[in-house]
Amino acid sequence: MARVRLIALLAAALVSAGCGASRSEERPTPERVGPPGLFTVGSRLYGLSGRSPVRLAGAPVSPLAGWMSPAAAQSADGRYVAYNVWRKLRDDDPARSWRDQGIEPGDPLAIPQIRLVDLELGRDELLAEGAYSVAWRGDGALAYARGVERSYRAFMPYDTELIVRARDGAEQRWSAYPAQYVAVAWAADRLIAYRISAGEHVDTLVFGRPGRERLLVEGGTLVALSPDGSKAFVEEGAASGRPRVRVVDVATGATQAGLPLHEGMSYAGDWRRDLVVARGGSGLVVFRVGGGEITIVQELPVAEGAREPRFTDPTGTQIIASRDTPQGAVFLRCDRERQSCTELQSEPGRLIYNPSRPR
Amino acid sequence: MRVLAAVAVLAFSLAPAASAANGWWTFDRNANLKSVLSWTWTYPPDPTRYTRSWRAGSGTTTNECEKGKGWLPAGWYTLRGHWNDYGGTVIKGRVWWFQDKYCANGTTLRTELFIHTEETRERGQYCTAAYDDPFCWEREADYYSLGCIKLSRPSPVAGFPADMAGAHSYFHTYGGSPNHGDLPDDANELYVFS
Repeated sequence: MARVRLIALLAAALVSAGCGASRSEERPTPERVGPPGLFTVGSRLYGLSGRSPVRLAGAPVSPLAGWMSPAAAQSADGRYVAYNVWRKLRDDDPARSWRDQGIEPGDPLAIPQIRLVDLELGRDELLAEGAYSVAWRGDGALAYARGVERSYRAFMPYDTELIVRARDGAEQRWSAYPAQYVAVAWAADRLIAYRISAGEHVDTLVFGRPGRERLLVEGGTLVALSPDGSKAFVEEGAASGRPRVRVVDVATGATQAGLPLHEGMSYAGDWRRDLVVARGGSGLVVFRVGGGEITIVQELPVAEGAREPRFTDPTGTQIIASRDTPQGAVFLRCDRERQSCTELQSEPGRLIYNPSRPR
Repeated sequence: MRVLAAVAVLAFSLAPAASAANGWWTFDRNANLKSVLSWTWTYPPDPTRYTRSWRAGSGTTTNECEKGKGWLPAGWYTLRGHWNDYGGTVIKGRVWWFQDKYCANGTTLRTELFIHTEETRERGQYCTAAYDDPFCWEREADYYSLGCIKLSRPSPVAGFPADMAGAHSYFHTYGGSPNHGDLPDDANELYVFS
């Protein structure tokens, strides 16, 4: 293994020498450092200031949401991490059909769970059974989607209610009717959520208060919220017509700026100052927002794409993201000045972040 | 599997009576706008395969783990049901509904997966002045989907082939279930090539 690594290093050095200082998409040799902030590798939680990694009850994962919302998110005060766990009740081989595996309609296949880590007390507890996707509000309330039924069952859409759990544990239902919701983020005191329907059609909703929803984007998703939480940078893909991005006022839904695109963007990006970073078809795209306009300022190619990009410095120069590989998701650090992305480490991991604004 | 399916394209005139046929779907992912959906059938115990194919689209990206955007994940799927007048909010008309599937990363579930077109519940067209009406097949970009498999059909504003009608006809004529609605015991499956 050491020999293989040495050969890889030599090869990387030769390639580097041959290519000079040209823009590199990715360096083949991973850096042995983790991303800034909190992250997980398997079920271990890293990045705690001055502390050893913490072993969680399970690896954060949210199959019903994918990376539409973070698998784990830290509360605004930094004390808690809420994370998703997927408790499988039986194996499901993706290469085989359910029928071939003896899975019948209605068979329970898994139970999504939300767990809460109290970093101060060192506790890791089950918060909600039959629930997934987490969004922290600034005051410590947590929103999530809770299944009408606890188990995810074969051939049955997993209908949910949107629940907001106050810091004192009191729960309140915010959705007016069951649907396949994903809790995404808080824009100040307004809850942003997705509603998934037939064909994985996704609508973005705003809940101003319990039972009061408004459509923010039909057939589109949230890329990121402005730092003050008043505006949303949203995307609509080719399947909904012309691909485009828009800045919309969260309070009114009014479009403040728009930009048609050749290819669609994706959800789970970030907004820092006047910059927005989003996953595009062939890498990351950085937009500038201001003066009633959206402009593309940079495209960072990443083979196989990068997801969940986050700015990591105040100026929006450094970006952290991740990318699926056959071994799992690896972290990428992208430097906008060098116009390159570097793989950080090979262990599968997930970024922990909080898309709510303001924090 | 891919080779077998390719080899199995034979003249339909050679096919025996349809009553004993057994069929299944296959989907060859080539590009979001231009992939191939096939209906393959045999007359057991004769192993000879017959196949008819149509252009189909899937997803807006080729990352099968990108919910609501990536094309259909690879693997075998069980059919949940088939409807001629499906009345969903964004999908209507003739549909086949398939099981959920974990994508290649093993941790993201793709759900609500259909074969469908853009038409009304009554299998008609509702074409307004909108650039992209969800129940009208207007243009090439209508092959894009959010993850499903999409087949074209003609409309008053565009002359795309009646591939949904063709696929529907072959399904019912050559080994697909004659029934509609939930089909929990139906043997007809879908295979998506990786």
